[in-house]
Amino acid sequence: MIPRAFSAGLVLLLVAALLQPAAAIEIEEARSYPALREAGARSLLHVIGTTEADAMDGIVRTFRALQPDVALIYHQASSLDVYKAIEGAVTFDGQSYDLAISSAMDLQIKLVNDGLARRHRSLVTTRLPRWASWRERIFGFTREPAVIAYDMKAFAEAPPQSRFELLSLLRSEEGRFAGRVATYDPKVSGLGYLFATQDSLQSETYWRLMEVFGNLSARLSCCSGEMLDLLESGEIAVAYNVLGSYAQARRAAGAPIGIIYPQDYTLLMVRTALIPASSDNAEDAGKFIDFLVSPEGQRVIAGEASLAPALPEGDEGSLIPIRLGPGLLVFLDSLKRRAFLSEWESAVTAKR
Amino acid sequence: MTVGSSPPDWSSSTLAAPAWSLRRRLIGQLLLVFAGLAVLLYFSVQAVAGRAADATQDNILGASAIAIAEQVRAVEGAITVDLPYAALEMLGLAGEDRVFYRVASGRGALITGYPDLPDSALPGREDTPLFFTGRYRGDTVRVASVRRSILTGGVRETVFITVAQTREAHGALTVSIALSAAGVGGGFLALAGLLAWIAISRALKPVQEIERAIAARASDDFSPLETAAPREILPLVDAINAFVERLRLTLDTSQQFIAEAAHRIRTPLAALKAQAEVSLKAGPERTSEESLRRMLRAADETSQLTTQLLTQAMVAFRAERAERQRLSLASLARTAARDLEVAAEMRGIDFRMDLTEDAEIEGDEIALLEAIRNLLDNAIKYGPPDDYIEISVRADPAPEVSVADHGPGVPRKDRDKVLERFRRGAVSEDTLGSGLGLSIVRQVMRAHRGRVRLEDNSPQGLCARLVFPPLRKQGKAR
Repeated sequence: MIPRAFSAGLVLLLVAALLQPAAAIEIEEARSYPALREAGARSLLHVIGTTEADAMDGIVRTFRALQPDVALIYHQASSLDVYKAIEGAVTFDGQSYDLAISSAMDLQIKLVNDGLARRHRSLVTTRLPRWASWRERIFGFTREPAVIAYDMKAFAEAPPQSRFELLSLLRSEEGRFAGRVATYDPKVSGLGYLFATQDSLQSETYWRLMEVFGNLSARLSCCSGEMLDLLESGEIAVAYNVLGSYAQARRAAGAPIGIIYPQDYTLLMVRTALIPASSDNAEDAGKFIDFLVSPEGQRVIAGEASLAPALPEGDEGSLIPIRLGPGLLVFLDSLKRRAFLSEWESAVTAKR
Repeated sequence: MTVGSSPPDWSSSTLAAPAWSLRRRLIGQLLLVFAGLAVLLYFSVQAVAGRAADATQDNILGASAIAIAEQVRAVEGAITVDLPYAALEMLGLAGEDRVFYRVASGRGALITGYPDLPDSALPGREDTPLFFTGRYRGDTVRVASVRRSILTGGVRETVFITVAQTREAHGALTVSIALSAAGVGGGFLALAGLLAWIAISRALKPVQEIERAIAARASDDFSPLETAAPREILPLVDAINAFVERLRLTLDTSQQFIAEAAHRIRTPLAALKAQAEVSLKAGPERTSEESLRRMLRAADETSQLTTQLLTQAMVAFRAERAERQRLSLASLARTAARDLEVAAEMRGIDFRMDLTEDAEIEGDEIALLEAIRNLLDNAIKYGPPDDYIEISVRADPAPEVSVADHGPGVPRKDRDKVLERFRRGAVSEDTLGSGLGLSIVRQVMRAHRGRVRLEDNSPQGLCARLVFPPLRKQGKAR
């Protein structure tokens, strides 16, 4: 992850090396937002999340305007580290993490299932649709598609519209794409693992696609942001399973990035928030969740934060939302995970 | 018989005791029964619902455990399992319960899953899951356990597959079914109460109709009630009609009595008045002893008639209303005889008494004395002078007083007639009498459920017998 420019007036804390707690989790970036009302810094809310700090910036600012007494520190970490932090009740400088935001739905579900999340119930959360919550402990506040992003400069012709078309294209023009495709490394990224496992449930095409990726010596990445950077710089031509929201934000910023919502099926990921059982400030964490799912919070998420991109219209049938539920626990099973990753490994490295 | 006609008093006595409502009592008892049924319904629905909810959760848990068991494999001498996605996903379809699983070898070594999941007390069976309820991580969980044996490296190894799920959806389902059951029970109760109210109101309608018919009736209307009463109410209507009929007869008799009494008294009074006027016109010198005697006789007659009429009214009243007490017939007879001793002596008549002391009856002393005195009075009047009158009291077969004389007697055909009011025997033309004496006797005896018998005395004369019902029987009948 490449840090971006920080807004003036915010105190920047680069704590990755300095304040590393005992259980080894890596905080990629931390941003501190002091309470707006200087005199009454009533409480401090520690939010740990996988969402890019820049994307969270607008959300936190609006929340702070509504809750001027609350100081907030946003800690950005990988989804596995977010999981480890909550699972191990890791503290930051002696203080608990009060809210966990993650795109890795399976890890979040496991935290809830294992009883590590606190129940939260408010007027706003009771109105949530069925897909957006589970056990009143985990709350979805975005729906983001997994898309294929491509470098528009590299495609003179019409880009492929489905996995099968992509597969045919990559097979027929190996020389053009060798070393110029990228996807998540499921061993490193929780979200990448979620996408990979859900893909494997949907279609056999995925495995053949991974074999072709192996043949093309695909770049394996930790995060959507990194893949989009590679696309923007022209190093690669195609990135598979990139978060649609991030890609759209880049595109809106002027990058020549094309977005394909695969017509065979497009996975929809739900970004979720939960209050860890170890939280010392569950009250403010609950207020933050209420804000995230409130109409005002949703407006900020769709606008400033660009986390809720417009979904392709007229083709709802190809959208497959990943359900929040115990099914997500299956691929977290250690044997299952080992088996899946070894199968994935052998596919990707088949003819390397 | 009551002469003074006081209006019948409906409000007193039995009709207006502290009023309770038949309708309310019926409704209350029915509602009690219905409430019992509703509670029964609630508990049975809840029990059935609980079992159904159990069965539903067990089915899914069992299917999940079997699905996992089918994926257990031996790979290169090690047991492994490829957890099927559907196995856990299906558990999330009905509700949002937490899910735990464990796959362990027979030696207790964990293969995968949650190591501390509770164990079944019994060994799991192959293919058929075993279910039990336990606690795990602070929650009640329902557990399904199956066994699978697998060949690994030439050794048969048993693998236990356990799947557990919390019971929140189960509880919510049971509660919601119980609430529905309670709603149904309550609704049933309310509806049943309403229907019972309507049914009871309809059933009680004839009673209200009878009440309205009686209330609307004129005070001199003694015709029978004519309402279409159901079979259950009919006895009440019949009883009311019979009572009204008796009331009518009583009032008729009273009115006849008053009319006749007025007429009887008016005649001797008119005669007295006429005599007095004649004497007045004739002047004191010419007033004969004869006319004075006639006036005296008319005055006597009026006086006796009036006395007897009042006596009869009093006796009738006492006979109907007075408290009954235990009396000895012998002492009654002696008292009556003593009262009339002087009158008998004036005619040179003796009383011969044959009294059984243990003849006892229940009755009113004053009325009975009057009856016996009337018999003696008649015997003195109509019997020959310088004679004797036999008074006897017997206990067997029934208590009885009889008075026998040796006068002219009463012919057999006239015996019923002389017992009626103002009727006198054929031989009594010359004797002073009102015609009330024997009718008083009969009335007293009727009030005591006894009878008057007039018989021939041998060789001649009349024997009047007052026969009472035996004491024990009378006591029972009351």
